[in-house]
Amino acid sequence: MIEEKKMFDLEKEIRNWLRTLRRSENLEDSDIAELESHLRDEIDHQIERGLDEEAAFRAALEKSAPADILGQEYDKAKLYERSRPYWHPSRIMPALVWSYVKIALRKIKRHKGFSLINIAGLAIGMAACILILIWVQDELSYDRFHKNADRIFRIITKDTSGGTTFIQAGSPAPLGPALIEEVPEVENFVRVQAGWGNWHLHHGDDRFLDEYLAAVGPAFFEIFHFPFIKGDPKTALKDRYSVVLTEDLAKKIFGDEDAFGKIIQLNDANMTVTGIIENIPRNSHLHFTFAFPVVNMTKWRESKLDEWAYDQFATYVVLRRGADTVEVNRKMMDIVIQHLPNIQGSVYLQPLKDLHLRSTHINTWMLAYPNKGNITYVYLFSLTAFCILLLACINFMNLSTARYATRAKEVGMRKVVGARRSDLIKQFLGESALLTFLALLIAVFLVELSLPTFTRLAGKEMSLIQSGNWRILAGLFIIALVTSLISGSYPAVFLSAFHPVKVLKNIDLLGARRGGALRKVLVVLQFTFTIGLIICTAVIYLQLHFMQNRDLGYDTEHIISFAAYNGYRTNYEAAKSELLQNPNIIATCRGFPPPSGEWGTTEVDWEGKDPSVEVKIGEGPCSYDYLEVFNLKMAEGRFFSQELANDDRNWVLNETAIKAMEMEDPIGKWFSFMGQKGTIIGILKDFHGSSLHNPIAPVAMHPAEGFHMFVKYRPGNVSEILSFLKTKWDKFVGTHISFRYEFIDENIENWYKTEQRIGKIFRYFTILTVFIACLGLFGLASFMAERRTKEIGIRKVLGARASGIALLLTKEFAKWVVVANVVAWPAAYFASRQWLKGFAYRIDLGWEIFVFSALVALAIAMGTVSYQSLKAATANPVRALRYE
Amino acid sequence: MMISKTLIAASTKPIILSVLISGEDYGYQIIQRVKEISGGALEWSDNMLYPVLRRMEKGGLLVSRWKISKKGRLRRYYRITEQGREELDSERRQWLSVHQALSRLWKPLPSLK
Repeated sequence: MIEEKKMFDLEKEIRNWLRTLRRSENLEDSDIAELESHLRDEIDHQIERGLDEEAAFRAALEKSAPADILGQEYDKAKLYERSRPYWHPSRIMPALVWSYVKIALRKIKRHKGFSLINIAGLAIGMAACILILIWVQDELSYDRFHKNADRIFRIITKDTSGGTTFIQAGSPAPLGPALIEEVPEVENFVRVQAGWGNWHLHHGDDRFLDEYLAAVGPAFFEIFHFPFIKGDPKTALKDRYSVVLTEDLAKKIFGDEDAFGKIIQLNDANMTVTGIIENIPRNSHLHFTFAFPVVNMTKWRESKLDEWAYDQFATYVVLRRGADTVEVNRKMMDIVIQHLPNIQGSVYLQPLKDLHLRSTHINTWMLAYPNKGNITYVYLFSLTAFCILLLACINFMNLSTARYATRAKEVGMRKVVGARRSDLIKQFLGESALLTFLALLIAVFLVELSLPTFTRLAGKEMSLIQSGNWRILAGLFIIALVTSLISGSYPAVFLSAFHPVKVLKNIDLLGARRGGALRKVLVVLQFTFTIGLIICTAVIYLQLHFMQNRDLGYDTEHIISFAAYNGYRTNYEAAKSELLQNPNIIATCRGFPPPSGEWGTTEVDWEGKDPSVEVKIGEGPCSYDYLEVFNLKMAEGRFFSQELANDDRNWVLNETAIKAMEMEDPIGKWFSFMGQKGTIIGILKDFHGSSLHNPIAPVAMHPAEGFHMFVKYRPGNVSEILSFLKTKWDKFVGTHISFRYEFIDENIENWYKTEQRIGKIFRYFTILTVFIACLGLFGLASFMAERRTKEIGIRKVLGARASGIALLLTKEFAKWVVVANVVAWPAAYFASRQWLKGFAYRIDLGWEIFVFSALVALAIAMGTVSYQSLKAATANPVRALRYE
Repeated sequence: MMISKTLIAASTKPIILSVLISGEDYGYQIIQRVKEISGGALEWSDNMLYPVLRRMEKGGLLVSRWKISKKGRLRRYYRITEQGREELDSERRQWLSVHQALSRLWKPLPSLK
């Protein structure tokens, strides 16, 4: 149909309409042709109805939808089909994955140094993190193996008499039976005393002196789940003369014979072996190699199981499901008050799962359990692990973004040939995952390599693949995954955003501006950690040094101590004169080590006592010659003398005691300790009987029998003295008990074992973090030097000196380190102060420590950066300007 | 009478298939026939029909070919495939069972008190 040319040009209008359709990317040409045909039919139809062309066109258009809506509809239809336009690549392309791997490996190979720094840094960080997590997991695993672990509690006694607090794991002996009778929530109980060494096993002529015992109630093996190899946990300790041995001890005593049912001597009694249990797991707070019924202690030791004042058993109870511990605590306290109306303090339940990590303030001597954990350290180390991992990740991210910037062209190319942003993100995340898992592999290898050292450091046997350590394996995987996600996410997002045209035209080639700020923040963060750790390590070191070098107020060196058994007890003077015949032995004495006053009593009285003053005083039994060995200093008066009659009724107190008692001119006044009344004849200068964690406590010394012999010798030939003491031991004590000795200064060293261990671990981790931070800085410095090659070349051509350029490059890093210091100081100050609060005697947190660590960090940073700076500064400018 | 959007959307496919079962046809004509048959109740617009046709073609229910009309106009004719027939069969059964259920329910009109 040929239309006349009027004012309205139908063809032109249709062409315009088609143009709007073509703008929609969802409509294909065939679709448009079809729609055009439809429109024309509609127009014809309208014209047939009598409209003119223009009106027909408008009417037809009205029925049709606007182009954009049409496009949307087609798009919806497409979504339904889940098809993609032919020019889009499919989502999964196996061939490309291979290309990604190939490129990733090729990049690793091409930038060997860079990759090494990157992977090594991450691997080391991960290894450290894994090591710490192994330790943490081990610490948390204590006592969890008991079946009813969540229902087992230990009764703790808190004694607040005399103005001081003394918390111990012992509780009144008859409390357990009373609870069963009167408190329905309590299902079962057991009394335990463990590790105490005055009970010895004999079998024929063999003596087993180094074994740990546990004197326990009959329900012990019902409550605690120590697996039996032979015997019945329920009945094993029913009979008074029964004993349960661990597998190892049974083997030691009876060899390959079956120990079950055999008779063995415990001191003077015949005991039947009624059970053999597996060796006690290391992560048990109870440690023993044999267990026997606690009733026997009534015979051998005057411990009355039904005496309320006797509190040297640890009592464990099992509560019924759903019992309210607060309620039980209240009922328990009521019972205790009924029987001990004058008690000051309280009794309460401590959950079994807290025993290992939350008992540092509780005295547990009756359980011989010295290796208590400390929840603070668990938190501290977990935090450290997290920080180290974070540090390593930051490094990895930093180096990756720096390096990936050189791959802008690759990104541009990939985009031009059709890679979508999501493809690129996938590629880079995959690449970082590849690197991370490579690092993880190396980390596992490193962990295996360093575990023996770490085991020694931590003081316990640990392994990566231990039974029950599946959590660590799972954790490893998660660590790797998280690491790759964190470290890969930034480069992935950052790089994939490159505009292909700009990249290929070399505009904003490295995206330097955006990456730069974040990178600076990351470096500062890294150095903040490092400086914080340096400060903490320094504080720990200084405090340890302070504690180990503080004058305790008495001699500690060249003193051997051993048990004052038999002849040493009954005939001390004769033994002493025989010992002194050895020219290398200077002095001897008997008693206890200088007392700490921790075990005090408020049953004291003195002349002119103000009734409102209550003082808890510790006792220090000693021989007359005590000062000859320990060289304690007198502040006033005199020490005991054998020449003076009745001197053994007198008392010598320390300055703290006198101060606490508010006494004036104490010499000559009377003093009474648990009913033993005597005269105060002297005042000792204060000395540290226990570690510097504790303040000096009031102490009263008097001549009395002590369990220990002390021998002071001339420095030099220790082995000769020891063999001499051994022959004398055999003479005075006998050969049936082995000669065991201790050095006083070694014992004192042990006071700070935990701190030493922590200090050591901290030192290692500090070195590690410094190393990781340096790796990062080194990589970054080399990258920045490379990026500024041209600038440096131009500066040199214009007359800049090498030193000036080196300074220019170094200055920037110095600035960051300074900022890091400012951030690190308050945090480190707070943490250190918190830690130092645990010591009654501590160092001052001076500014020197902070300045020192700042300088160390600065020196390390400068050392790391200067190599690259110098290299860049001394390079030939011509080469620099020809670069690219 | 307005038919709801969802019902229209749901019925488009079976209606197109039913129209094409009697022979090939092009878009505009399909719209006209549906309008006639429904007594004007179903008046489809192009933006509804063509994308659906496209989808059905990609789904293998229809095939299309271009023909030039006597007037010289390009027209895209759609024809049902074997798969389309099967689809229609299953659609028919579904619709009939719905229809049956509704008619049974509605036969004795609920008494309006």
